[in-house]
This record gives sequence, C-alpha cells and structure tokens, in this order.
Amino acid sequence: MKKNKPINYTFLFFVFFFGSIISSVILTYYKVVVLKDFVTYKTEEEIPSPGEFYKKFLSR
Amino acid sequence: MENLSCDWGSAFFLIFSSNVPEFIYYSHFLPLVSSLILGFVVFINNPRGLTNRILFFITLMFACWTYFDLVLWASPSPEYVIFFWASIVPVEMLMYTASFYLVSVFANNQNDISFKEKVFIACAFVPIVLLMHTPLNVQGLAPSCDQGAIEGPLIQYMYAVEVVFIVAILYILFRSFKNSIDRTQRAQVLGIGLGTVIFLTAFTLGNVILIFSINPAYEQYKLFGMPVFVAFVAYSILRFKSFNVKLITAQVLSVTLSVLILSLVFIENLNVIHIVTGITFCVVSILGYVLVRGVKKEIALRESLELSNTNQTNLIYVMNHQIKGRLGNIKNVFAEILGGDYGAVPQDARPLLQKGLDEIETGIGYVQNILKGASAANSGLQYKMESIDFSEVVTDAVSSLRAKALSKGLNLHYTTVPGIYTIQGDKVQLGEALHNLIDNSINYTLEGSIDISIESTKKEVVFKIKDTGIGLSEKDKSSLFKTGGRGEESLSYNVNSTGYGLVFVKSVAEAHKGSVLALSEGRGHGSTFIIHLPR
Repeated sequence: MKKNKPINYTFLFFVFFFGSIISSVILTYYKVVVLKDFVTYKTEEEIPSPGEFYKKFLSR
Repeated sequence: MENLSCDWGSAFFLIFSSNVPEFIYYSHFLPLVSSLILGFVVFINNPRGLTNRILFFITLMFACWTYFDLVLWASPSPEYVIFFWASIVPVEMLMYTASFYLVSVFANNQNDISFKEKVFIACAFVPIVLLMHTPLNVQGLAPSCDQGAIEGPLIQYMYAVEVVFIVAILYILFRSFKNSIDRTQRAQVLGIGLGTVIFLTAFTLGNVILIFSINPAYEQYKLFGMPVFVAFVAYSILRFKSFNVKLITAQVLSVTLSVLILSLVFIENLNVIHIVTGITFCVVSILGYVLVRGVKKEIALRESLELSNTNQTNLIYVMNHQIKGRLGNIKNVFAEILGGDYGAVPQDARPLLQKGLDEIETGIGYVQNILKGASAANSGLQYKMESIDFSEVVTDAVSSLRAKALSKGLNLHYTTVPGIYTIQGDKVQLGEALHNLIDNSINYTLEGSIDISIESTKKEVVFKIKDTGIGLSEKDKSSLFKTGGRGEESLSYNVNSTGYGLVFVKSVAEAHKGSVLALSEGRGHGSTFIIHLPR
C-alpha cells in the first residue's frame, strides 16, 4: 500500500532560495553581458557622490 | 567586445593573463586547492552527513569566489568585470551563511537547525536577490584599471551582514562553551568555530583594506584564512573524528603541503619570493604541527586500543568458557530433575524448579547478547553474504515478535511498499538485528502502537520502525550506538538491557555498507529507527 509522502518544506525552501539567487545571477548576466547596460566612468570627477548617486538612482 | 582602456592582453579561460602578478595566482590557487581537496574528501566519505555537506558547500563557494576574483584581476572585458563583480556578492554571502550554519549545527550536537531559523537567515538574502542587477550593487566601471568597478551600497550591506555573522558565531561559541557539559563536544565546537572565525575575519579584514584603499596587494592575505580553516577542520577530524573521516586527512594535508612547495617553483620575481616564502613557512608550520600532533595522538590511541582489545578478548574468553559454560551445566541439572531423570519431582517443588530453569535461560540469553554485541564492536562477526529477499527477513522478524507485542496490548502494524527487495546480505545477522530493534520498541513502549514499514528504491531498501514509547533524550541519542551505551531510563523499562543490542544493529548495518539512524523529538514522544541498506 503506497502512502502519500508529506510535503518536504525544507526541500521546497532550498529550491526557492537557490532558485531566486540563480535567477538574479542570470538576470544580471543578461543585463550586463548581453545588453551591456552599465555606466563607464571616464574620469574620477564623473563618479557621483553617495547623495548624487541615490538621487540619480531614484529618479530612474 | 570593447576592452578596458588599459594596456592589458587577453585572458585564457578568463583567468590566465599576463595582467595578473604571479603572487595573485599563488594566493588564490593554494587556498583553493587545499580547501577543495578537503571538501571533496569530507563529502565522499559521508555524502549523507549534514556537516559534511555544509563543509563541501563552503569549499565550493570559496572556489567560486576565488575564480570570480581571478577573473576581476585578469579579464580585460568590461562586461565580465562588472558581471563577476556583481556576482561575487551572493557567492560571498553564501560562504558566510554556510559557515554560520556549520558552526550552528556543531553547537546543536550535529542536529539540523529549525526551519524557522533557516527562513530567518535566508531573509538576509532578500536585498541581494532583489537589487543584485541594479547599480545599487555595482555602480559602474571605474576610470582606473586598478580600481575595476565602483561598488554600490549593496556591497556595504553585505560587509555589514558578514560582521553580524562573525559576531553571531562568536556568541554561539561563547554559549556552547558555557552550557555544554560534554567536554569533547565543547572542544569540537570550539575547534571548528575558531577555525571558521579566523577564516571569516581574515576575509572581512581583506574587504576593509580594500574599502580604505590601503595597498590592494595586502587584500590577498585574506585568502590565507582558508588554509588556517582547513588546518582547524583537519585537527578536528584527527582529534574528534568529526565529519566521520578517518586518517585520510593526513594524506590531504600532505598533498596541500606538496602543492605549497611546488608552487614556489613558478615564482620568478625575486621581490615576491620573500613574501611567498614567509606565507608558505607560516602555513607549513601550522599544518605540520597539526599533522605531528595528530599522528602522536593516533599512536597513543592505537596503543591504548590494543591494550583494551586484549583485556576485552580475555573478558569474552572468561564469559564464554566459564560463565556461559557453568550456566549451561546448571540448566542441564534443572532440566534433568524436571524431566524426571532422578525420580518423580514433588508437585510443591516443581514451580520453584521451573522458575530456576527459566531464570538460567534468561541468564544465558543475557550473556549471549553481550557476547554478540562485543563481537560486533570488535568486528569479530562473520557474515555470509548472498542474494536475499529483505522483505522476507522483516516479515519473519515481525511474526516472531507479534505475540509479545499483543500480550502487552500494543498495536503492531507492518506495511510493505510494493517493490523489489533483493539485496546482498546475511539473512541470519540481519534477522537478528531487526529482531533486536523490534524487541526494543516493544520493551520501551508501554501503550500505543508500533509501526513498521519497508520501502525500496533503485539504490536502497529502507526499514523504519516508529513507536509511541518513552522516546530518546539528546544525551541518549549520542550514546545509543556506543558499546555499553543505553538510554538514561533504560533499565527502569527493560531490566535485561545489556547496552550491546544497538551496537550489534549498527555493526550489522555497516557490514552491509548501510546505516542506522535514531530519531526522537524527546522524552515521551516516541522514537523512530531507520535502517538504510544499499541494493
């Protein structure tokens, strides 16, 4: 007689946990390597201060 | 593909390039090789062990981190610099998390932490998963070739979480040191914990050096925390038999030392060789000390074991030939009197004589159990391996004890999941082992039920017995399968407990290249024993 196995929540948790990390890595690869969507600073002056950076990031 | 505006050549496999100073390869490959060898040895020795899996995962993440970092040093491609810079964040976080998990499990007497604790720890990854691909992780490519990329606030967040993990590990060590009664367990947790703290602190200090832009070459020292971690784990394996690895660790250390010395051949720059030789000296000294100490202890242990074996053999001889022989003679006397060999026995004396005979038989069974357990502990049992139907062995064992269970008012359920149960094994010894487990469940269950089930997969057959008995405390579980070990309240429920029954069961399971596991949620919550046997 075959018994129904209980749901293994720990296994589901690990699948979800590593799945979301791997998805983020793939998304980053697509954005950076495929779309080349990143900023290249030519000079030191171009690099924004933390305040400017946040302002710029939030206005995106 | 557009290259960095630097005078850099291309990189083979993304990491081999003339852009990279020689000592960078040294600082990366040495810890990488030593950690991967240890990780694989520990994992292959016991792939099912939780701590073995976690240690293997740490070494894998460390290998990933080292590879990613080498790409950042070698690759002239801006895309790869940004991508690997961003991806190193979850890898580094996983390394810290797994290290924390390892220490927690060791502090928890090698039991897993709760599901809630796992979810709580995983919450630290939420910002990383959500923001990894955004400029909050890596702002962009720096104008200077040496600088690589400009880090965003997410990386600062990671550094902060890393510090929290280190503090949490220190807290666990402190708590374990304060609360643990068992000195061996305390020393084991301290050994693994301190190794982990040194490894992680060296790593975090390396990151701090990078933040304050002190010479970036010093950042490389952070990787040498890994060989120190390897040394602590190796010591723990030698001293406490952690991770269930035997002396193969000495071989791992020898290979690591050889790699260390061989790597010096590839250093051509004389200025660098001083630094490299200094580091090699430190690592060789630590690993050498661990090795010598481990070998010394092994020799002392072997000598004491030989003495103990001789004593035990003498004891078994005395028990077998003197006590068991004498008991057998007395049994014959009682049996002959009761059988009427010396004339009719008065009716008044018969119950007393019968009681004497029963007591002698119980005594002989008791001695036999001890002898069997002692033989199993000394690997003295002989096995006749052949193709057998495991389900038949279980059915026989259940049938022989069903009446005993019913007489105690217990419900004995036996379920077989349809499948193929053919294994290579010794029918008699396996039958004895299963008989022992079922008999134990009946003896330690006052009311309720005993559920026995077997199932078969492609790789193994699994026997499971679950009861509603007195259950097991954490202390019981740690001593259950050791010679003479028994539950704290064992004798209150089973006066005939020898403390050798489960040693015999474990020995039989291991002789079949299988394992036996005891589970219980504590006293009064019943217990479950599971035997895995490979097909």
